[in-house]
Amino acid sequence: MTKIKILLIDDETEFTSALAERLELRGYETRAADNGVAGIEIVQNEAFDIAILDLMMPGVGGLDVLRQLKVLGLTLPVILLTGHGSTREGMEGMRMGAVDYLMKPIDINDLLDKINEALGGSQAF
Amino acid sequence: MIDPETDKTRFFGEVSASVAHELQNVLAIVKETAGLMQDNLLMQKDALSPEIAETFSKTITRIQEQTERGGKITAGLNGFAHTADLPETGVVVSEVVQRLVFLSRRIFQNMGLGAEVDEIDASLVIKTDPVRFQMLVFNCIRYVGCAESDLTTLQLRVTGRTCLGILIAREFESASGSVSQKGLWDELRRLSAQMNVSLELSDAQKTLYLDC
Repeated sequence: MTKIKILLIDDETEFTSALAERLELRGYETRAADNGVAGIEIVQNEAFDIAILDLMMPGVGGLDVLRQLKVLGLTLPVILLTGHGSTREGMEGMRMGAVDYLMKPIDINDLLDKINEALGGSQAF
Repeated sequence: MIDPETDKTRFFGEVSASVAHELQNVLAIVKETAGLMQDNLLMQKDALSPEIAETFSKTITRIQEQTERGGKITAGLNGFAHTADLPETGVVVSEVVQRLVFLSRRIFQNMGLGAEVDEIDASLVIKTDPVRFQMLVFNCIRYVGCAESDLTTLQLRVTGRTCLGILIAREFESASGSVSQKGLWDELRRLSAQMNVSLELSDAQKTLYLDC
């Protein structure tokens, strides 16, 4: 059976490595990028089922990555992670094409639910 | 030209919001690492004695519960700090009041006062200075708390009275009283005048009304 492939883009590498390990224990395949530019590069050369993207990263932020994916015509469902205290940034990201968002610190079960929802539907850019 | 007070508030808000955001990231790492420990513990459960497995499990649960708690506080702090971004904006009254009550819980507890929002009209939005608005609500709670020594829990209602009404409903004494009460009342009058908010003290209903 083919594993679902997830791209994690977040400058907090300690976070992505722990999350990647947890997702792999649950049968997913993961790859991580620690900045927006690297994430865009990876996604152009490799196929993923879904991306999990931090909104606030130094340099190219989450919203910039969303914009770039759109420009490149990449139809990849994206779930955003935000450390902001309000829903405003997450909603803004959804307006720009993200399928959903979660606030940090996340609950793994919420993330799994959102991944399943995103892959079950056809919402993309 | 930007008012120096607004400038100071904005600076304080920007740095505080950034720090709160950083703390969210720290808590996210702690929570994921604890989660990973829990995953590994579940996989190794048979290799450990039940007592050790239980001790580890309890410890991990405690870490997760506390990161959850910390996450709520830092998320609230981040949202609160961002209210200083703009000198005037559309304020979702229910969101702002609930967050303020949540973040100020310890301050009110130290006064022997609990505050809770028990009725909410989520549709109320006003265009105002968010920081001054929160100061006004905060001082209203403090005023009522000072005025009523027997009070243990203060109930707040966000209701649609004229274009906006915040009702802080609980029995309390009139504005004349101790020096601290008087000082707070004056402060409330000053803030409400700055915001063109009508402040009404209704002894008949034992209620303090704010109408914007």
